[in-house]
Amino acid sequence: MFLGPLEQSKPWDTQGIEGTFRFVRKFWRLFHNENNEFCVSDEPATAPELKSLHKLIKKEEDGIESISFNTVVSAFMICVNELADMKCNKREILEPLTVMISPYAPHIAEELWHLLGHETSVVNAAFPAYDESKTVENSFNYPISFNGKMRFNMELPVTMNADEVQAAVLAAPESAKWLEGKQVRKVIYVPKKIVNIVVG
Amino acid sequence: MDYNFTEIEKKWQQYWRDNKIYKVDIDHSKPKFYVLDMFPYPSGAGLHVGHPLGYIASDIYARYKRLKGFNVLHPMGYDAYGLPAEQYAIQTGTHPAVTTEKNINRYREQMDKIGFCYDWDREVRTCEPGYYKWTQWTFLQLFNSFYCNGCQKAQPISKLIARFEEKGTEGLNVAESKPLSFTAAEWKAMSEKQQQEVLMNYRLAYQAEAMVNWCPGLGTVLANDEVADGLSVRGGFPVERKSMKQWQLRITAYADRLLQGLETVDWSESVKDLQRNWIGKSMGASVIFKVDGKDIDLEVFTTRADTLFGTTFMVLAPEHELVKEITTPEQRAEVEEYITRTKNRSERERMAEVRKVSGAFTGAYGINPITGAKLPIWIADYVLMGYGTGAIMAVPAHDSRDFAFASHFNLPIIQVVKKPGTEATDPSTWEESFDAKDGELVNSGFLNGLTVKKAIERMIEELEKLGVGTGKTNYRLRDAIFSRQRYWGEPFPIYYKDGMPYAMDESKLPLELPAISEYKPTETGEPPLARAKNWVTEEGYPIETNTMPGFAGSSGYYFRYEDPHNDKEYFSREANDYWQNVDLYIGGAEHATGHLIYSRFWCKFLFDIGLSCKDEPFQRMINQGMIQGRSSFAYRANMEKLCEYGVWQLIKDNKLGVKFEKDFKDGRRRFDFFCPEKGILIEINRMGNLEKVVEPWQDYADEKGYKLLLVPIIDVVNDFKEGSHVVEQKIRDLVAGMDVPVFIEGEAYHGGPLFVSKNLEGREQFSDPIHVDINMVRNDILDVEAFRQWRDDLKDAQFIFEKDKDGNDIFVCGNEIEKMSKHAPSL
Repeated sequence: MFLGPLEQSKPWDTQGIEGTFRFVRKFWRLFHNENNEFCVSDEPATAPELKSLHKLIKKEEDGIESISFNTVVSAFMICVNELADMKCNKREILEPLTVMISPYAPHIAEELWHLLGHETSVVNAAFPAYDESKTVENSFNYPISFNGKMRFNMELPVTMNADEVQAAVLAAPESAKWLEGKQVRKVIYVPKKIVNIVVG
Repeated sequence: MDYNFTEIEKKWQQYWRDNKIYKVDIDHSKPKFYVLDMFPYPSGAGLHVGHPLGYIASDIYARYKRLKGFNVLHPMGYDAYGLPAEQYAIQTGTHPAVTTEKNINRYREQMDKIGFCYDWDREVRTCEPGYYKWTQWTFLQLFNSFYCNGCQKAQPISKLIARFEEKGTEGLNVAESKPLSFTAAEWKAMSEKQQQEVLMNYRLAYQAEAMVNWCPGLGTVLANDEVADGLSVRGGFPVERKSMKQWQLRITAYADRLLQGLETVDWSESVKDLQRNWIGKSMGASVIFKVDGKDIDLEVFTTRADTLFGTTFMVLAPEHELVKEITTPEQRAEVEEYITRTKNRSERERMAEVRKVSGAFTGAYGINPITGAKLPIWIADYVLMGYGTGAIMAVPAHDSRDFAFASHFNLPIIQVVKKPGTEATDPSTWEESFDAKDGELVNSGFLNGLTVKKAIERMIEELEKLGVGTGKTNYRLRDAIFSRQRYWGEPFPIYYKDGMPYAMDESKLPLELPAISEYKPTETGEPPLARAKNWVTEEGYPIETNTMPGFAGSSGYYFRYEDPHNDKEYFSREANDYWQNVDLYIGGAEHATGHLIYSRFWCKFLFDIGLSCKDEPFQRMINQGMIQGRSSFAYRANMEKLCEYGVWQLIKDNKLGVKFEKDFKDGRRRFDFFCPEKGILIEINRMGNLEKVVEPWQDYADEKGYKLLLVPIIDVVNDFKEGSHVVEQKIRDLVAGMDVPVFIEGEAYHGGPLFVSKNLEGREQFSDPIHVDINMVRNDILDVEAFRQWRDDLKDAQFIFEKDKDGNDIFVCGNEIEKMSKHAPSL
């Protein structure tokens, strides 16, 4: 399916098969430790992990309905790379992911589904529901500057207003060094961009 | 190994099979979804790469829908009747059922390896009696139905009989082969045989004479796409056009519904357009021309009634039934010769070859019903018998084929349409006809000044007023020929009494295909079934010996998956109410004018008789593309050209301080390079060739005061290989005014063929591509050792490599994309 759009004519190409096989192995390794032992954690998923998952749910739904299977395959590759980078082995992510890959790779999905402890076929599972709120950025990693010089980064919820941001930044332990013996004259706050504190 | 796929795949395939994971049943708690693949013809070659492409796509979709909570029907089966198994049977005596079974097993094994989610409990095979019972049953329903144009629906033939008994054909508006007219009394007075003959005019499955592609070599009728250049595609036997009694399906009755239905389905526009063109609806007029001096009416169908004033001659199809009658004795020989000559060209060829103008004059004249002008009547095979009436009124000024014909045979041309705002011109100066439909009428009496559209309406009015024509809709679509003179197909549940076909009783179904000793036609040219012993009904009436064509079994197979084991009905009301029609159909677009038209017809008919709850079979359709092959080339150097190229690189652009020219000619003498300033002539060639010319050329050079250098190609090759610069040095010395030996005799070049890597500079100028087995090429890089061992003449092959980005020597091949063999099943 990764050869290209289904309705277009395309050349036979075995290179794509190797790429797909590498992907399947990478997918498999999400569920396994270095010793190839099945290893899935029950910790709750983080926001970035959920975001990666829900972005894929949307892409897969749209892609399959419009018969753009090749775009779903590449979305899968992106998601699996992201999860691998985050070293995510959480059931909350991997279980729905197993269901989602089952139309494309039914054998590996069935194997992982049973390893996850299920006793019926993955065929009878339910496709995970898409939750748009999981895909929106709910925090932003602000660069915090003092007198225009960037000193550190700070993750803050995007729902905070200017006053709350100011309070949070000034209270941060990293700020102490730059505030020492100085007075805050002004705080410039641009939502989802920067926080600059003018001291003197 | 981290993911052991061979073991894991086998394990789960077994699990799916053991637990019937993919089995589905009607479940009213869930919405249904029906995903279908075009089922394959099980050929001897196994699955083609194009098959899994579509099957995997439908598999993904089916699995996804199931996860989304749908009850998904996703079945598979086999289009098991086909010519290859029959041909094999003729050659070897192996029963086609045996070959087919073997091939099916191979297909199944291959499909199982991929791990599809088919519900195999619903498998159908078109060649099994339990299946074809319903193909035969549908045929009987078609035989016992007619089509009512008023209610746009198929109706039982008994209704028509009742009507005939009551008022004959009065006010009848039904689909018919030709208009008939009789009263109730006349109907009642007819013999049973006569009545049966009359009913054939209306049945939806009927028997009639049809022009067919008859292949005596194969002993059967062939479809248009089974004939090329007058020969059968299979076997290359001559094919002739012949009128034969054939079973046909009155698919034309459904032409309008087939068109309208396209608006309700989610298919690609390109496939819809193919069907629209195939159905080819056109609005026009039927016009009656009297034949001069005879009491004969010639009916013509035209979409351009506005151009009647521009008609200068008429043309009949060579097989038109009136040709014999109207041809004058003087023209008879010519006309007959023409008919024989053109007899064996298929319709497709006749339509395609518009440039080859041919025809013969019959000696007769038609009378223009509007102007009274005398129009010579010709015959020509660009006019087809099946379209319209097989006769045309030719308007050479405004139709390109008529124009070509008139120009070739010197017939008059009259302009009757002009572009608005321009004046009419003399058509004898034209290079082509003016076919545009937006224009204004001239030279046309009462039509002058009207637009084409208005003029058509006005002319139809006039024709109807004079009683010499009527407005009429015409279709390009033909009724489908439904009989084949073959063994491996469904027998017709038809017997003959008094020469007339009668339907067998439904209780006799399935009428099973009998065993026969040999699979070819009989010596007297009868179909293979004529060899069957006791091929008669219980009462002793002979049973039909034709069989049904390939599309009989594939036109309604999607219904049978809904209720595959039902032996009382084709499919139950309950099953069809639940599963309805196919939600997503995946397969090749090449079936646009075959399977995909027949299936729609079949479905509409079953809808009319109350079996199917939907009147379109495939709601959404996706046509997968072709998987294309990739062929690779290695570039073989032409040694002489290569060496010339190499030397030119050394001396071009004043590299040696003087200007050299390429290809110096003096009379018949030619040299590769010439330096006018220093008078240096250089020729590069094979040793053997140089030896022949060294003396005369030396004389020529001496006479002109030039210096001559003859370079054997081996010197250049050695320079290349060893990095020495012997040739360059010689030329430098000459330029510097030193004496250099003209030519040193030495060894000729005996190396093997030389190949150059694709991206080397100048490669196009001195090499030719040769095909390379793609198994020796990976990512366009050639395995040179495998290449040397590939063929004996390549064992000494030499290579000029290029460098990859890591500095390694690599030999890069060229490539080209081409279509792989057709992947499609034989629907």
